[in-house]
Amino acid sequence: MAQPTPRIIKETQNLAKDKVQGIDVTPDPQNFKHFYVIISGPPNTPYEGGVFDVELLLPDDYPMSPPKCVFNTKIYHPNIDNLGRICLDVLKDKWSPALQIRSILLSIQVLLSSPNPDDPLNNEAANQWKTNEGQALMKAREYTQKYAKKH
Amino acid sequence: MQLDYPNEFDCDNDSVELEKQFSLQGVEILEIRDVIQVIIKEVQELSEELYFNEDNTFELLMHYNWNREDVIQNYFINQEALLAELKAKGIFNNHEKIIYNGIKGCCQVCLFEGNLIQLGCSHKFCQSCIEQTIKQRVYEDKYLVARCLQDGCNYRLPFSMLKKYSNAQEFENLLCRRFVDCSRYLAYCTGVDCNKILKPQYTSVKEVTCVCQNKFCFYCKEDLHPPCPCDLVKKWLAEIKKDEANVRWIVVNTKSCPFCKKPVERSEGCNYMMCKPPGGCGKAFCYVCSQPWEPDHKDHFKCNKYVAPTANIEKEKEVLQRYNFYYERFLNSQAAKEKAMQRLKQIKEQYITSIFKHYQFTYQDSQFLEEAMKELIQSRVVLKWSYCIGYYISKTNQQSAKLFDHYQDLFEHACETLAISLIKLFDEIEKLEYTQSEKPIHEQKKDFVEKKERIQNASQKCCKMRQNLETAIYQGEIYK
Repeated sequence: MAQPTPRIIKETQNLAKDKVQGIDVTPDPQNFKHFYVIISGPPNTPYEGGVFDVELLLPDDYPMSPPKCVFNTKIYHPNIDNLGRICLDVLKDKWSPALQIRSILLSIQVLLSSPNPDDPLNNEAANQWKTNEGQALMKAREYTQKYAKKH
Repeated sequence: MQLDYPNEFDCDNDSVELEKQFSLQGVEILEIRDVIQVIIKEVQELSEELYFNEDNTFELLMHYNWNREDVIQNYFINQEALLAELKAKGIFNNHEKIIYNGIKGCCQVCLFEGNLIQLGCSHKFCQSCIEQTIKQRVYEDKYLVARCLQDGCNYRLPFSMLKKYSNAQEFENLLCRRFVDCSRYLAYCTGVDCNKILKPQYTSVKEVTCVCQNKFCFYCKEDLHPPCPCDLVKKWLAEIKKDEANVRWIVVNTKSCPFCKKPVERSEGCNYMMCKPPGGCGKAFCYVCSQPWEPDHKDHFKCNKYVAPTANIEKEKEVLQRYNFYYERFLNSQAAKEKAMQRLKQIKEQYITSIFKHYQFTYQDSQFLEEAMKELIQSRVVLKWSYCIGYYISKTNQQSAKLFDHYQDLFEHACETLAISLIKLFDEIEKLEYTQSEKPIHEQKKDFVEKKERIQNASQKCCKMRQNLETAIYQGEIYK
């Protein structure tokens, strides 16, 4: 396999050095482009108390193209579909090579605290959010209890 | 816009041909580099007029789709508001801060230490990262716009930088494509692998011919479509595009069930078709003759019956069927035209030599074949597009539809007669290669001359019918 670029080495080191609260990153020892991430549900959200497995993969032309991120834990969220794909502008057209893995993970954390039902990926959840937010939050909490608890 | 080009067609041996084309058709044929020169001139002139540097002028022209009048008008109406608006969008930038050499530091993208380039927005990156971004945008995304690599910064890199760090040819191709697409006076030749750009002397010219012999409609940028007017072509093509894949698949792969009229797909090879529930009605029919499987087909295979179409079809199905009717014929004519094109090639490469070898008829004597074939091709094109007209007329005006049908019927008949007599002759010519006729050669020659006359007559008749149809359409007798 190709050697990691200085940028990937440095980013990996920085991720290990200063940890972000609520985000835990473990690099795959077999593959320097692969990261296992655990995001804790932010407080005061229906995801509080849950731990979410996220997988992050750097493309070959990183940082010219954005990393690929997928939720492995089931989650009820208007911008995350039931395959775990994430609808987030910085992972798509708003990506800039000056952004880093850390900034992407922070954006995902923010996405959990502020869902955006106007740009939905999970239509059912987005409709629920718009029509009956209370019920949506309840369902999200249910999902968290059911799927995102530490075992 | 005044486009004046130096008359430098230095394409070696093609130059004579080019001049001929130029004088005959009143169409100038340009290369990409000719257009690039025009673009450079445009930019220079406007930049002198507005006192902007070339990068900024470029940005303005790109933003206004290369419409110089638009730029000037908008600029002089409210210069400050315009510039402020463009600056906010990152379109009109101050590029004076750009420094290519002499800055050292760590590039925020690749984290390498080394020489950095400062952009007009003061962000600094190394050359390799900037180059990679530009290449990705120009080669892969085919855009002539690249932004600063910093997130949230909407500064656009100047054109001089895009040009500097991308392959010159790729950049010019893209720039030229953009310019030509915006221009009312220019069009790319639609021929395969032909990158020539055509500029008719008068914008009223509709039919243009490129040096590659490709002819196309200058307005639609599509193949020629006589006798159909451009607006109808546009409508028809949009209609086709809308459900082309679906309808084509349905036409090719399904038969409508004789009982419930639903399209049924043939999933296995045999002729036993079951219109399967829950979607279908559960009855069985024969794939070939669309007759009920019982009782006739039950015991033995028998389907040489002619099927008359049933009259009472529901309206919705009728709409689709009507569309399919015209669309199928449109496609068939298209396919027939392509076949005819292949034949024309065969005539030139094969048949004329065969005729000479066997009958000792010269090229002049067999010239009629080529002429008749060209007439057939032309007729197929007209026939093809006449179905487009037919589709719209039958929808709106029953009175002229009848008249149109009459003309079209006569024309189609003449066209088929010509096609059949041509094909018969081709078969005979092909046979000459490996069979010996028992007739003496002078009788064979006589036969051939008779056939020649018949084909020439058929060709003339076809031409006349075609012209009748075209005149009827052009004079507004049918389609207005």
